[in-house]
Amino acid sequence: MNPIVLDARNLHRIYETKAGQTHALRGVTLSVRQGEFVAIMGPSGSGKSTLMNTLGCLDTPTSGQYFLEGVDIAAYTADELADVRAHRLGFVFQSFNLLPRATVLRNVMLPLIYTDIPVREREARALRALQGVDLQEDYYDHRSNELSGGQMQRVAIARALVNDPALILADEPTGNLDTATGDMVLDTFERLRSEGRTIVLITHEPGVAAHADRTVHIRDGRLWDAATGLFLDAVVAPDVPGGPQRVFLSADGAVAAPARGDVADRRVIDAVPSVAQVGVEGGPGVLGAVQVDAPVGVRPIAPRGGDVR
Amino acid sequence: MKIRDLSYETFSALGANKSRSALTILGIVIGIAAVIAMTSLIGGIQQSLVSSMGLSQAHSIYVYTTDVATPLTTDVLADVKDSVSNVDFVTGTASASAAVKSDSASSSISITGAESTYFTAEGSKLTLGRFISDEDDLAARRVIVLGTSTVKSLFGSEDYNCVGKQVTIGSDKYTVIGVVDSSSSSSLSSISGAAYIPLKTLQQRLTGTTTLDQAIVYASEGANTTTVTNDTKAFLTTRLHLTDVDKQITVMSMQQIASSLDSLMTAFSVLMGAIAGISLFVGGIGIMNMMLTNVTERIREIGLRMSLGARGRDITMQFLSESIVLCVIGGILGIIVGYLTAWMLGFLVTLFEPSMSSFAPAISSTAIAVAVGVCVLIGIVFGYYPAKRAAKLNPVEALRYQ
Ligand SMILES: Nc1ncnc2c1ncn2[C@@H]1O[C@H](COP(=O)(O)OP(=O)(O)OP(=O)(O)O)[C@@H](O)[C@H]1O
Ligand SMILES: [Mg+2]
Repeated sequence: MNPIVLDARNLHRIYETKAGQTHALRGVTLSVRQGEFVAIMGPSGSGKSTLMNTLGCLDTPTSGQYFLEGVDIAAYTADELADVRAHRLGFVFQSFNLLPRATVLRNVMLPLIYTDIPVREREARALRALQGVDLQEDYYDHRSNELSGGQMQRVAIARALVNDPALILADEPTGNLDTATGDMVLDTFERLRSEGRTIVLITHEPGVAAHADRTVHIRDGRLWDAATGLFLDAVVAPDVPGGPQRVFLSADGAVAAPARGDVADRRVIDAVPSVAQVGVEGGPGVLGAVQVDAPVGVRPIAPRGGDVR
Repeated sequence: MKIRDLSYETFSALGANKSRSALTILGIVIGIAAVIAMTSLIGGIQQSLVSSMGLSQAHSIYVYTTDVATPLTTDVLADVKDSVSNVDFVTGTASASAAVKSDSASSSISITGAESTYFTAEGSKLTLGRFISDEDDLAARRVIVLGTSTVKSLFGSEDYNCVGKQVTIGSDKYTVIGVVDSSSSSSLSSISGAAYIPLKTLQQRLTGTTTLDQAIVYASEGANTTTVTNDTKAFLTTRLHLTDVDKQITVMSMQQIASSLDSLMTAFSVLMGAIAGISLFVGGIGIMNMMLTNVTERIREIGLRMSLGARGRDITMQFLSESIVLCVIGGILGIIVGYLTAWMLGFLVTLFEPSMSSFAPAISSTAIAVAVGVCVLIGIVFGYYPAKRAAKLNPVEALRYQ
């Protein structure tokens, strides 16, 4: 079984602004296995970008733990975090973020200047990355502002691939593209997935999320279960494909851990009226026991977009 | 980040903003140009001074008098030689204006009456024949040494071999015995260097007086010229019964003249240095302003670079190197402009002061190194704050920046 790449535990992120505090993440527990293509879906303002920035080591959570390839990121200095981004992560942005005047090849090679990869190896790597995204070779020496949006996004994906990252994070990569072009970009992601890449893609469109192996829903800074409409305290990588992924916390805080091999469903929740803690069973490499410090009330989500509170 | 990547990033960023970069470095260009023009002009003046000041002239002390009851005469000079210590000899000159005629031409010039020692004191360079000898002077012979410029006006060419030829002054015929390089005569002496005849001949045939215009006291080898100068002045004050020393007598050594020029140069340097300093400071502020704009314009790019793994240090280096390279380019342009300016000023000097014909601005490698060093420093000082500001950006906010 593939190892866990991403292991976030009880992440909180509170923004301090002049207008007051915004609690953008309220205890997100999530894990992703190597080779998975996971979509994180949620409405605008639900905390998707905040989560992605935290997972991308661009932002540090106010509390909670984040293990990337088993290493606790919390202890890292700013420079060490930059090193993690340079070597272990690849980003794809909604607005492409290419250097407009640089050539395609130069754009793809850009992340490598922040690594120790020798100059002579860089071009070969960039070419390999570009081959992975189906961009015609004629374009390699074009300036990036001479490309179409879909081409730009594929260059950006190649740039995210060039350092051979453990995890590719994409925030609304199709947000600026029309459906047809967006589908081509999503095909590229699916191909990368079939090559064994680990991808976390953020979107608010169900059509986009459908390309992923599984979808994690977020709302108001918390994960929730689309099937039951209940908030989840943890969404863990499946032990076995199709195995239990979701862990619920009921109103009084009693443990509601689905049995191994079971698909969690409403009946489990109904059977355990309340929990104080949540524990998730797991084998080696799987998220171990997750401790939720304070009881968090389960709040049923009103069906279809209603107000939660 | 490797140096190679850094320089690539720097030059491509500067290339993107060519006209803005060019305008911004104008202050630096002007500041450095002022410094370089100044130092190479001063260097040139000092060099031409040193080259015109032969070894012998370092010994020479010039004496002039005005409005004195007892004028300078050969007897007075003999007393100076006897009474003031460390004096090798004292030579006097007098001059008169007269028309000198050759067979083909005539020229009105200033004729100097000189003793044999005069040529040693002035360090004159002989191009043909010989100087005036003691015998010429004692016998008041009608012999003449011409300056090259006079040879040209009388005989058509500077290179004409006129030794042995006759020239006429008034009704007297003089035999040309030698030719001296006109420009070798000190520009600080009152003598034009056009033509020399023995002092006695001049006194008897042209001026009819024993009064001298100028005396040169030649200090002994190793003597302190300042002491000799002061002693000479003190002696002449009593000997000539001077009442108003400051007005009536000037006693000055070449070295004093050179050093008084030096202090003038220093004053000039301070002034130019101040102008350059202000201009460099303003230029530096301009650089800082441009770099701040630059950082603001490129916030998203900074955020992107951070997300791709750039550390704060990489961002700092990127912007710092941009401002340093900008300043150094300004400095190099400034050096070129400054040197050209010095050439042009030097050319103007030679137009108005032909005796400085050998003048060329002297640029020293030290000046270039210092100028480049100053530019690097300005780049660092004024680029540091914008670069730090860029490096301190929060990557998430930088990426969100519109
Ligand atoms: N830098 C910030 N400072 C203060 N509040 C912020 C900041 N960034 C995000 N927030 C707040 O945090 C919440 C979550 O924002 P986030 O950008 O993560 O949402 P999102 O799911 O990505 O939305 P969208 O789909 O519109 O991009 C929002 O309420 C937002 O106002
Ligand atoms: Mg977002």
